[in-house]
Amino acid sequence: MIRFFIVLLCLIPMGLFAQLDDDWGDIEAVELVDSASNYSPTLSNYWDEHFYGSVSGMFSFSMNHSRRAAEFKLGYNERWNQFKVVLEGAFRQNTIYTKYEIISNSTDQVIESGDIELPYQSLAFRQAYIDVYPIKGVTISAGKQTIVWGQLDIFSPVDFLLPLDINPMGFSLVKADNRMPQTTVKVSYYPLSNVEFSGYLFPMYEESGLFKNIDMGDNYTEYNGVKYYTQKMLPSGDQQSSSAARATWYASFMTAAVTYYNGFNNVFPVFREKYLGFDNYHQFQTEYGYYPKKGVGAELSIPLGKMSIKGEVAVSDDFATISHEGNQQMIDALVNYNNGYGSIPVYQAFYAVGIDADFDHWFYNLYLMSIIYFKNPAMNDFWGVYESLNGAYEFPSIPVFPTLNVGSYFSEEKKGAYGVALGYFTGGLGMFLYLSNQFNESLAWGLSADFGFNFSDFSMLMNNSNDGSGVSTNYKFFEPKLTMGLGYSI
Amino acid sequence: MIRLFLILMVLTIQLSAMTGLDVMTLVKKESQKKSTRKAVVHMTIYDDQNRERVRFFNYWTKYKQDREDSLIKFFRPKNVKGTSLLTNSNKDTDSKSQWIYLPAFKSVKRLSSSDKNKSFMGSDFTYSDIAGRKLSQDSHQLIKDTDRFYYIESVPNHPDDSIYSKIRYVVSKKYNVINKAIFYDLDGQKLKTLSNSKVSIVNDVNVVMYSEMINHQTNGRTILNVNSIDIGISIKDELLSIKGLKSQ
Repeated sequence: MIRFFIVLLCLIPMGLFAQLDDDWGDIEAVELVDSASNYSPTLSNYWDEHFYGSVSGMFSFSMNHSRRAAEFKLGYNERWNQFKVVLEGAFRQNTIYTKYEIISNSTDQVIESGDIELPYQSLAFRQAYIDVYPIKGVTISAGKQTIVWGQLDIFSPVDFLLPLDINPMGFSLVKADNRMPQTTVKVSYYPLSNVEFSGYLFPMYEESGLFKNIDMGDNYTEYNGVKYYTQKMLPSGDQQSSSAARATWYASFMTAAVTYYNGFNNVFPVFREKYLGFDNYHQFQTEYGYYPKKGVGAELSIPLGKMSIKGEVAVSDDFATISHEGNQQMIDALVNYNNGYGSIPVYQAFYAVGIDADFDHWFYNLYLMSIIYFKNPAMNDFWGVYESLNGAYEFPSIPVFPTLNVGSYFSEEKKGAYGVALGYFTGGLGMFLYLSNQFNESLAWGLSADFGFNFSDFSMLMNNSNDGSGVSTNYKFFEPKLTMGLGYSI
Repeated sequence: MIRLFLILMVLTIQLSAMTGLDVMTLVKKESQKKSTRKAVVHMTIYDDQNRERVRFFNYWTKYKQDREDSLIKFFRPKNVKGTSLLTNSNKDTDSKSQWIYLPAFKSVKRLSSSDKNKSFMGSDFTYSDIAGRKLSQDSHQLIKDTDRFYYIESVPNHPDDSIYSKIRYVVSKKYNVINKAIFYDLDGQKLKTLSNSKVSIVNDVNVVMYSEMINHQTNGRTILNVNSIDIGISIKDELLSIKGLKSQ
């Protein structure tokens, strides 16, 4: 019996070890080492932990123009227990050498042509703010900072409630780069670890540099011998602040957010005509600028494998410009119901559904986006008159434009890529071919071919084209171009 | 003589009575003896050509009875500077969420389950390697034990739950830490080997200071070297949350 028991006992460990093979390899004993820190507070370590920045340069050329652009950016952040400070400044320079023509507005004849240099420079703090963490779950942030909303990686309708600031080097596929830093007081409260409520106060109106230099002040209309000069309308005084509130839920299966915005039409100045009277022909005064705008946004992102399915919509105030066809009743309706303005308050719904996908070797961003307009019930009396005279009003239709960025990485490490962006991703409607890679982890290069409309170019065009003296300047830099660039991270 | 032999056999049985789960629980308990740790980690990545890349990051982690949270923030090299990764694991619900904050985008992005299988910042670790696995996600079998090591084989309870078909662990009996881990891909082929070769005793906790992960299929390898570490310090819960991810 004892012998049987011994055999049995011997068999148990044998059975246990039966699965063993030699796959375990060599096993070396663990060495006990001193835990003393070998991380010293050197300048290099401090720099890498707290400073960031880049130096980048770009050269573009085409049939009728060339350009040189450069940016130097330096940032600093430091976190103490209850405070965090962020400072970031940038110097940007963009010089365009372009052919131009001066054309008579009355005859459309070319009066003069030649070459000209259009310089642009700016040196500014892009971010200078402090975060304070006074009590558990609360962050108060004050100062100039970039605010980014929305779930779509590149182009978010909700984000477009905020002002644009497109780098003169071009539209960036990094969404935050296209947002204008604003002086902001932001209070965030996290009642749960994955729920964030934020309130924003933008105490002063700050106009985007894209439009700041547009000056049409010399243009005028004349009525009864009085010149009515074009006016730029900038929010000022105690009417210039704007605000927003936002709630975000970072659930494990999705991210969802709702936003309320009470501010101004930041993205592009609204042009509108105010009717002064009606003789043989209607008389008006033009004004352009920024008007109160309220909006609500909703956004959703659902991760699904290596893709995320996303949807966003922003419904906000806008204007529809009415053609009155010289009709006295229409002019009267505008005067009676809209203070004489030819731009009627309406609502716009800017929506996008899309997929952001990032695979091991390639990626794509595919969005379907459009804008639809609908009536503001506050203007129903006006629409009643309008429709009795003209029939149903047809709002402008923005095509549902397939906007696509697709590319491939050079390696699984995703350091370099080549691809094509179509549609709104180019900063307009067009096509953008790009190729970029890294020489090392600090130095990167890029090549691109840009076939189409570039928003920053359009801004530069507007800033320079029309001086109100009866002639217009037709600059030739608004054209497809090849670009090469270098960027060095510091 | 027979009595002596019987005693030896009984001792063997007692040793073998230690299950795989017991051993892995010992390892877990050792690593979580103190609820918090903060470290500065130097990660060196070598590709198959032996070309070297380095990453430095700060690492905070906190263990609680029902959850385990960690935050990693990179500060070197320059092209990943400021990138932060938050991992929240809930032991009760068996769920794990990972979030990444990219400073250039100024946005928080949730990593999908397939993202978790991606390389962690170009290294031979995946995001899920960094996040770790719950003991209850795997069946742990003690294969053998010697005077110095336990040999454990862990197989996912649900094959869909892991990118590995199994992981074999060699556990140091002296320090109750993983000495070596061998990862097998879903085809059962040896994929990676992790070797933890240096340990320190910090605030009464045995902690791995030097690790090397070798990828047998790509011939790449990654070294994790803990430059400094504090254990048992005060770390607020909100540091290891979305708020902390955005503000750190």
